[in-house]
Amino acid sequence: MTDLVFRLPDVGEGLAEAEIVEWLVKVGDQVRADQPVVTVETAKAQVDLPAPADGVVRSLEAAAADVVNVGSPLFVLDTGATAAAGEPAPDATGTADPTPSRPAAGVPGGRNGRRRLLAAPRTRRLALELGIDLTELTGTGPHGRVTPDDVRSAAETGPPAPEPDHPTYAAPAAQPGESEVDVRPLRGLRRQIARSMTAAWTVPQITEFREVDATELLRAHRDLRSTVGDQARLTLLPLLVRTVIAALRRHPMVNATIDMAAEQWTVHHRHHLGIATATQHGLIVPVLQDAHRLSIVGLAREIVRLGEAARTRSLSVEETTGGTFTISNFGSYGTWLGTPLVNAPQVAIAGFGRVRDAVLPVAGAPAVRPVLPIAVSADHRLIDGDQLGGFVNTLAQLVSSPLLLLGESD
Amino acid sequence: MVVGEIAEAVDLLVVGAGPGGYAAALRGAQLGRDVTLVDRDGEDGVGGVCLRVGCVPSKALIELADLRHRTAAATGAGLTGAAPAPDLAAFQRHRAVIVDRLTGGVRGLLRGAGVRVIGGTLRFTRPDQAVVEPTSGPPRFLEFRDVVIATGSRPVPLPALHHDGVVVLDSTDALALDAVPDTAAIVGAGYIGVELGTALAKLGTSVTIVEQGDRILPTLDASLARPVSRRLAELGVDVLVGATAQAYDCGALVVDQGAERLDVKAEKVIVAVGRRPNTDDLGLDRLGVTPGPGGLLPVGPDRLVRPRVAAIGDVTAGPALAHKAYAEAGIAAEALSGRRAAFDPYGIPAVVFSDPEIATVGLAADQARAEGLHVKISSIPMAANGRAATIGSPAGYAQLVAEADTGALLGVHVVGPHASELIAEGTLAIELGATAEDLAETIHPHPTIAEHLEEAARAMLGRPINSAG
Repeated sequence: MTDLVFRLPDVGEGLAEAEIVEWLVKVGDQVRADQPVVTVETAKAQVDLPAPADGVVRSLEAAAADVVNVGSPLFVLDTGATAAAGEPAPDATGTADPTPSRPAAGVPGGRNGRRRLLAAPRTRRLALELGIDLTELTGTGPHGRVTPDDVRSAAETGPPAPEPDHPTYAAPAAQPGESEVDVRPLRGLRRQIARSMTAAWTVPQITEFREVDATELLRAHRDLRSTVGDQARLTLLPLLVRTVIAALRRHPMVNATIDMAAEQWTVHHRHHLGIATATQHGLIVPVLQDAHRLSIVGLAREIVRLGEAARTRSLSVEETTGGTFTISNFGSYGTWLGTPLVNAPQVAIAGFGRVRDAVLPVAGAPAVRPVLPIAVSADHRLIDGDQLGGFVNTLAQLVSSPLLLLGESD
Repeated sequence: MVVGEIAEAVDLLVVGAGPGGYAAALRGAQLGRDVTLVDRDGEDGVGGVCLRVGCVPSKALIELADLRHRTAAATGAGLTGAAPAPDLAAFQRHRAVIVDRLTGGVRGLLRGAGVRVIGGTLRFTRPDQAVVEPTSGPPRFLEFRDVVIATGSRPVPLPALHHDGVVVLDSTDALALDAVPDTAAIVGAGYIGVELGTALAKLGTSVTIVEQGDRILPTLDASLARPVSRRLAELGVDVLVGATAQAYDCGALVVDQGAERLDVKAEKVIVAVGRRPNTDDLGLDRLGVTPGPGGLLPVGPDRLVRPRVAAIGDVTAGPALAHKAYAEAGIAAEALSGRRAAFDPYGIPAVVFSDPEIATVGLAADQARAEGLHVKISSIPMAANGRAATIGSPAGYAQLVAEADTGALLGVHVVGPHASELIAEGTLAIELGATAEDLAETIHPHPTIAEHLEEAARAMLGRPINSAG
């Protein structure tokens, strides 16, 4: 028999862990290569992980609702056994080469049950600090002793250390009869949203507001919609994406990302626009890759497709990462004006409110016009107030006079 | 809480100034925290049970008793004259000097670290607030960010024997005796009972130890307790096992042993049947913390009960030992200060200051096997050690437990003179993952008790020098 330990693969950029949603097999099941074995939910999407080979499921190393780090064992497959031979799945105690059991409470430095882990206190402390699970390492010292260098090199090459989110303290005992509150773990998408928002909060940001006469924009939208016809469901959003890209072209440093750890910032010449999307699961930001290359119809179709994928949690990792600027269309759920939060490491975000009729001075006389509120927030570390003002001026100008887009280079 | 009370803001609150509490306060201060330490007895409480009325005074008494006894025993070894008479009143003055110097040292360290010490009984009133009631003066209200609970433990009383501090004593009273009683009965043959019984016997008291279980030191391996049992018999200590103390009546402890009822003549009765954690009067429900079985607080490896609340020492599971509390104190202070920290020792040494001393760390052979480890064992009698012979204390042995294929040391168990000092080397070896060969190849000075560990390691490798192996 041959045991194959299947570990949680690196499912994408910046994702260090996943939550087990559901096991699709049980111990003893015969599985075929590529057959889905387990559904996991990463911060971005739900995915089914397939079996790497034919075999019999020997053990499941995590339970539903467990949060598993990248690189941790998920299940063990006996690729030498086949149910077709009529053999029952072998008992784990019979193995000559035992697969590592899950360390109790996930504490690095624990014993793995069969063999003393040889690591000095200093090594264990280092592993804890760097988020390395010692039971997963093979030491290079005598008798497999783990050295501080082993831990350091694992930290350099391995998956990123998980956040020290204190999973260790004992869970509070449930009080019988206490039903006035409902305590739930912060998991999956909601936890990722919470972390992103916390990260956003560490960005010193400034916001500029404008109210723009949207008469011309609405006219252009009406005309375009009759032209496009059945080709796509054309909302105002593709037009706003177009105006944002045109404004970003004139103010390139707004289409940037910042890396404070490396103390550098990157100006992006391509425009990957995140579209903040409300779903029943929570806020998801799918990314319109190379939005600058898409036609109005292409944008409309892609926005509909990504929105649908967000709602069904079927976005690929590529479709949720790599954004260079984000648009929040908070007017779509009735908000008049709000302050969008910069989606770090991006440096700016534009929010569009609900169009409503308002009295504006037009040629010296009050007139009722449709007004679109715009709010743009920027990372003040990189973007100064005058730069943000310049960008918002351009954006407002293009929104109020969409014909000007004709004059923009592509 | 009355409207209008103003709570004082506290950054890191430490409750209890025993070894765990003061160590947590000092580590917290090292980490840059603003620390407030609350103890029932304020500055006078610094040092806790251990320094003031427990381990330190008891070691002073054991030292005195042993010195007297060894002087008497040296009559045939080159000393003549009558054995010196004990003077416990003088001992109490001597002890006060020792305790004052040690606790004064800790108070100085706390002052130097800027730790504020408040005296009074603390109760939690909210998840982030507590009230401290001093013996005199108005209550103080504290609003804290983080808290370390280090309130320690207290002796368990026996309902049948009402503690009066005159005849029926606890260990604290026994260590404060200012005259040597002619007779004493000790209820409980755990390490406290055995240590006190041995010391009193060496001072001249006729001692009876009453134990409910079937042998002394029931929490230790039977083979470790055996040399101590023999020694107690030599000292004339009567050990009644399978016996229950029923009452104290007319100068005697009434004991049921099987179907028999015995009267044990005892001027003093010392109850030492265990300790219980001080978690019942803290208002823990207001803090949002629920003690587990036996009043112990459930903690994670980082010693946190829940975010912002840590518990260390005797209020948590594991041996109720000061050095465990010290180690946990650092972990708790670091975890509360946002560092990654875990209490993850391979072994916590345990010492009984009996005669001979017992010291043990790591796994016993049976425990190691139960964990699925393949082990080998080496055990060398202390009689093979030259230094033990010169001390006049050849009883006991040193035992090593190692992993069979790697030779990594899993357990070190010593019965013999100075075992309490020796065990630190064993603990270091286990923590570093040293092998029997590492120990055997490390040159130990001769003649010492310490070289017995080298000898045991050599024997494990099949090449002993001073023993048959």
